[in-house]
Amino acid sequence: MLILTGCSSVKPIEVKYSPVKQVQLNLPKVEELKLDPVDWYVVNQGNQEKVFKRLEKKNYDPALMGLTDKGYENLSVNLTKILTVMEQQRLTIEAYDKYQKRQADTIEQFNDDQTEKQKQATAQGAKKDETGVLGRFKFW
Amino acid sequence: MGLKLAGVMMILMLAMGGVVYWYYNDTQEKMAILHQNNAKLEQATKLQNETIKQLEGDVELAASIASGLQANVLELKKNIDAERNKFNKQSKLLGSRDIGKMAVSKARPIEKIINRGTIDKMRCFEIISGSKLTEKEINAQKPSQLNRSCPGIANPNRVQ
Repeated sequence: MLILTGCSSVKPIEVKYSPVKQVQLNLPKVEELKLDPVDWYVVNQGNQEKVFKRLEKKNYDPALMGLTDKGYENLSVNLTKILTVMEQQRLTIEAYDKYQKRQADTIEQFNDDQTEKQKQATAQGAKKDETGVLGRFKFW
Repeated sequence: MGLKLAGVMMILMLAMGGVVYWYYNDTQEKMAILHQNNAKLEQATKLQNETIKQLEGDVELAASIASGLQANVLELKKNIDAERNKFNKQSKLLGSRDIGKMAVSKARPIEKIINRGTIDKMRCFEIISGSKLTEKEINAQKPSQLNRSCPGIANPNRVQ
């Protein structure tokens, strides 16, 4: 038995922890839109002369780029569609931002907890080792 | 003779005692290492479990954010139908709304409405791109004060 146990050796295992670190992404802010004003003129068979006189007063060239009522409706709906997509993208970016921030906080908290636990575990292990050979003979 | 035998026995007993002492110490050391290993493994398993829990939490968080976003997107899509309805509104009293006919009969008021709508719509683009809300927009409550193209974005304190 002495030979058998004497030859065997027990090695202490080493558990390695590597805290997860989140890489920060710092992007430049999106440039704010500053749109130029657009004036609409409604022209029909009855008011065309009045409208052209108004253009003359404002020193505009007597020419208008036209849209039918259906065309105007479509343009308006198209702008709303673009607006909706822009808003969706803004919300998506906000969601990513929210997720990243909350995850970063959680990871930091988790890593802190684990470091603390590891310290406590190491301290406990050291205390156990302090018991010497004679200490083991103690039966009280 | 008896003394010699006692001496030999004494030496043998001391040798045996030494071996037992060594054996005891060695076993105790091994046991201590095994205890430590066990504690380390328990700690590692705990850490793994906590990491899995953490990952599950992340998945839940991602899912909740995604579902919130999905709801917002559905809400936004309603804006397109609302815009279309502005041009094709049906009323029992006035019949169906036709902007073309209205432009023929009331060109100037329609022009004003269109220009006001254009200003509102452009302001929506500016706000979405990050422009800050003005005091007027923040404090707007009544329908006449609201941005009719995107009250949800431009007028947070509107009366609903």
